[in-house]
Amino acid sequence: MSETTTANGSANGLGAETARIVKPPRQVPLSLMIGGGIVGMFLILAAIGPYITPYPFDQFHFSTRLAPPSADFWWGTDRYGRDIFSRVIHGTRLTVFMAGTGTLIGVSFGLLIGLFSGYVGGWIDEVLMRLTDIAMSFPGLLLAMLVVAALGSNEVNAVISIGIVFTPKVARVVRSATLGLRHVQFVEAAEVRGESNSFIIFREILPNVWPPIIVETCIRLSYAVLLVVSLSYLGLGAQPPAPDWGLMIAKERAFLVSASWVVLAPAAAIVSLIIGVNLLGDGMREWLAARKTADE
Amino acid sequence: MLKYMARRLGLLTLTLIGISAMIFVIVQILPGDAVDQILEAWVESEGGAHDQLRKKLGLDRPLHVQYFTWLWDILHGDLGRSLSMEAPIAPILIERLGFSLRLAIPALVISVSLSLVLGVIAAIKPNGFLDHAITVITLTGVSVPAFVSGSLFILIFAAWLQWFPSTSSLSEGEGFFHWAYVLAMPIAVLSLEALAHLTRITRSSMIEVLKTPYVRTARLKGLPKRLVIYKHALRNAMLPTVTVIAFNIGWMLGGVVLVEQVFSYPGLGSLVLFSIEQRDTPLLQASMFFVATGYCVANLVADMAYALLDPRIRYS
Repeated sequence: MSETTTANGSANGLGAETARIVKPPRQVPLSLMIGGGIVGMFLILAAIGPYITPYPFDQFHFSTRLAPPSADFWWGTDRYGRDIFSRVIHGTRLTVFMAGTGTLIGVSFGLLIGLFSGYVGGWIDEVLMRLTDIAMSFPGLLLAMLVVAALGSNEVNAVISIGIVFTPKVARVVRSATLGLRHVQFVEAAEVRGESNSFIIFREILPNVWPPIIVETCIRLSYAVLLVVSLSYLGLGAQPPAPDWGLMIAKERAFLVSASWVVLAPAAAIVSLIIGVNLLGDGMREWLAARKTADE
Repeated sequence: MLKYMARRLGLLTLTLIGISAMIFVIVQILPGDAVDQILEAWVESEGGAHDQLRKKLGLDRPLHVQYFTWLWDILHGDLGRSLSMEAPIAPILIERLGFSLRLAIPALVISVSLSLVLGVIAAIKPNGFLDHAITVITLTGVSVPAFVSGSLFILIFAAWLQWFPSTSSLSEGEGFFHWAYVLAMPIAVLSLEALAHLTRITRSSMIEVLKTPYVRTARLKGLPKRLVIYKHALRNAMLPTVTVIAFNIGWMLGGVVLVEQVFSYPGLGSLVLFSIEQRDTPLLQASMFFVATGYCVANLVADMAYALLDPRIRYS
């Protein structure tokens, strides 16, 4: 921190330098706050959404099909006269839950494999890494499509496919972080004490690889949302009449021109959620990097 | 360099064998086999017909025999026959690949060249106005899925402004300008997202390079800023970008699936989706293997380029 401060400070003159030093060193970046705010809002919507919507997500209103936004239907209605506002809000829970669970599965398995592979090393590491190579030689979306094709198109299998796509990528990140800790003193001390492998992996190494794991989780989360909505757009995720955002865009495509709100409302929800998660990830990376330099 | 290349080619072969095994295993999980798909439509479940056809297609053999036969046939350029199209798969794949490349190659060229320019502009004055503007645009770019931006493009440029057609069907015999007209929107959508990713990478690696002592030395010995940036700094800053270009090829293959779906364009991506919907296992197996092979080769080429640009890589 001190080095960058002087480098930037001297360029901006003495006044700026003192101002920078006075600032608290562990300031939370703006992007982290905005991203956290947006993601927090979606989490709240996911939790309470179904209790606050004006209509059930699957209630038909045949007299008001494809109605433009109005006082009765804030974001208009779709081809069956279902209230789009209610559907988008209901869909929040589905998307957030699917993306979150998929990420959780991928990060947990990736974490276990990465820690184990990096710590144990040798031929086990070699075999595991070649396997991740193979899994990663598929573009993410295509691997997910292949897995869903084999297991069947529904929400659960879409979540499983995201977990499968993420596991090797997370394993790679965790492994390289683990390799860096393989020969540090406190790990070797634990080995000399005769601690078990699992003790060393979970009590000595794991607490020190959290920062890269947190950053990786944020990146994965944003890809997870992308994958969830993409899979359901392709008909390989949630099935009708689920109020899934990607599915809504796919099913109402035909009315894009005559009733653009049927597509614009879920599209806005998708984009704002992903922007929020991306900001959260960027901010988290910045914050952890600043903390690291501050600690050193 | 030769030794490095030989090692990489050996690894590629192993990886491809692994990929083929993985695809084969996953496709085997698919409920029902090819015979059920062929006969389901017009034969009641009479055991006899099913068994006969199974025997004819060689599906009664043990799985490992089927796998090695498949692999052996691929090595001889025989990708099998599609069940739903009732035709050999290889010519279909080649034709669809041609269609997809017409989207992917222009998109790659546009996004790579634009991203270098934008990344450098943003990095010259980090936290300046232009940098912030470019950051906001690229953040939006990486946050909008291809099918969302595609739908918006159709709404704005096809429906409201009526500049471009909303579906991208190609007819043979049309000239270059007709193609450019028809493909403009899908190419734009595909480039936009790759552009956003690449610009972010170029920006951050350029900022890192501009901080290095050798750039400061070049500036202090009186070289013009433009020369230092484009000749000294950019060459090193491009290294991570080269790797990301390879990742982008993989990403583009995924993006292509979505873009083709939005614009009803008959490329490789829509072929994969079609084979999933039709449960056409030979076609699914072959097209997935085809795509994964292309991705691996692209990665290999990128690694080679990296090794050529940065000699340190070859010896590590």
